[in-house]
Amino acid sequence: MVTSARQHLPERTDRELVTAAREGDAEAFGLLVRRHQRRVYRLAVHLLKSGAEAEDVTQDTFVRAYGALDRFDGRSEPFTWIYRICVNLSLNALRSRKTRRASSPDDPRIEGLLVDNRPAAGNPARSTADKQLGRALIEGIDDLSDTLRTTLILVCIDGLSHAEAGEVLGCPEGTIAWRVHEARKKLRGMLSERGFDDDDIEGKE
Amino acid sequence: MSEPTLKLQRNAEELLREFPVTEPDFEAQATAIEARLKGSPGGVVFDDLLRVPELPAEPNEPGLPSSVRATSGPKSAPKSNFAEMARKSVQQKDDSKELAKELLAATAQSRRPNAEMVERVRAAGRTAATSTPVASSAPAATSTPLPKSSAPAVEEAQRNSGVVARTVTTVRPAAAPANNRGVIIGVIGGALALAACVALFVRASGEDERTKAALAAQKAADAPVAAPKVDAPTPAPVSNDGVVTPEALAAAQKAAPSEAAKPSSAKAGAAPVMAPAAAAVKSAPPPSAGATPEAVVLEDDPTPAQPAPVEHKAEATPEPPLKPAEGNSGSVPLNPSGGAVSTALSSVRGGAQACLAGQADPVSAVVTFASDGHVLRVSASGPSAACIQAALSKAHIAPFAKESFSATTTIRPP
Repeated sequence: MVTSARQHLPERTDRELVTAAREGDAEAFGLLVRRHQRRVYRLAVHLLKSGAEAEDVTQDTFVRAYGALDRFDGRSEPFTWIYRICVNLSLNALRSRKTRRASSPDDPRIEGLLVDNRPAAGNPARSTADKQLGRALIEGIDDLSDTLRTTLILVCIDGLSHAEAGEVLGCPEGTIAWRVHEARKKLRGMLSERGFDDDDIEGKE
Repeated sequence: MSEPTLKLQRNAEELLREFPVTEPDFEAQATAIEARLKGSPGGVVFDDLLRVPELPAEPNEPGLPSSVRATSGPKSAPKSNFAEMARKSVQQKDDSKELAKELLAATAQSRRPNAEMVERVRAAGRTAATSTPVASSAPAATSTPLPKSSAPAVEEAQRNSGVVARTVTTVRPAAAPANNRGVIIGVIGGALALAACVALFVRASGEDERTKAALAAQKAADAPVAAPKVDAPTPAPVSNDGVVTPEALAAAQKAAPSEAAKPSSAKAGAAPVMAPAAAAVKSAPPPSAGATPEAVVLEDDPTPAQPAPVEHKAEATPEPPLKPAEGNSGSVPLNPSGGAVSTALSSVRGGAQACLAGQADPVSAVVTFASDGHVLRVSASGPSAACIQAALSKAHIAPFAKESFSATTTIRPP
């Protein structure tokens, strides 16, 4: 029965799922969790640099969202509302840390680079270069401020539009565009300093 | 996702889009979440998590008021402050031209009446800013000055709003007293300048008259130099060696009777030549044979035809002392005149003749005069030569320019 219900739920929009969850449909909210938990987790990972903390934040995000379903006014997409909760929880976790650590022993991004199964992995040289680039990219992202890093993750990694990112962070699209541009500029400069030539810049005219 | 305007290095862009991250068992996590939700009380509100994330603005980030960021809902977020961002982007001269273009385009679309600007304009006291402006000829702006107490507040409000109220800027006639002072000062200065010009003109006119008188005097000074040429006695024949014979001197005296009629003093003899220039200017007599030195000197002669200013000037000027007429070499004539030499020798001839008393033959003597007029030497022959030399040495004539002048005279026995 649950299986059959889930087969029908994917066709429902996020708004419909939220409405159903408000009416006490726990399964509807479960579907909403499964639809967005991966993105929420990735967002938390890049913000917190820790797999364990990211899992905790992901769970807390949906639990808090469920508790605040009545506050959702429906003017925005539900996922932006959930993302905002995730960002706030992540920032709270970061601020609760006494020191800002550069990396975590259980950083899922590092592990992801090691087990990367993308097509380039077939070429050992390419794979090694990509791993070096990935590690440099991670360090570059971590060196960004919380503001630039959060914006970059939402737009460039999670694929939100500027408008959607603006709704999450509560700032104009122009501000999002400026932040993304600034973050990219710093990342490119950092990569150039580490020997990744500008000749390899994608789409350079 | 919007197309990025700034590209990263190759593979970095791709890596960023699909960053490999080790993922947990999401199904187990979802199940755990569902389990927590069953035990979680509904309707629990966590307002702090629903608020806009508190992310500090970047140093160069286009700023927005914090009050705008603190809005509760995502939809309440302002669209953008694109113009400011575009300007900053251009000012930084970075490679974000595309971004600047996008922002400027968005600015053009989002430009609409701003409530904040309206409020600032009102604060500036520019209530009529949006209404039809008052005509420039309207006297209201100048006749109704603002209260003094409101001026600083208005200026402050203008600084804050960036809008200049036309009604306020036109209310500047308070500078009128200063302008009146300036006009008064200008009038006084002009009057002083005019008075100075008049004084200079008057003074220049006086100087002009004096200049004319001086020029006339200069012309008159040249006149006696030419007049004696007409009245001048015929020069005594002088031999090639400069010796004047008594016969020649006598002939010259006959040719100039008026000259001979004058007193035998040296001064009288030189009178026509030594006539003062000022007297000659006044007299300007036509050259006539009967003219005497006394007649030449007409300083006290009230001739009606003479111009009054010149006469007045001449009377005021003290008469210069008489001086010998100037020759070619200056104020002293080059050679003594024949009449002067004859007169001088005649005055001492009696003593020389006494030396020849008892003798029958005359004695010829050459008297040489020095330039200062006294006898330099006397050459005579015969037994009475010393006596004749002593007698002729007493002769004296007026100074002359030449080094010496010799004259031959014959002394006959009495």
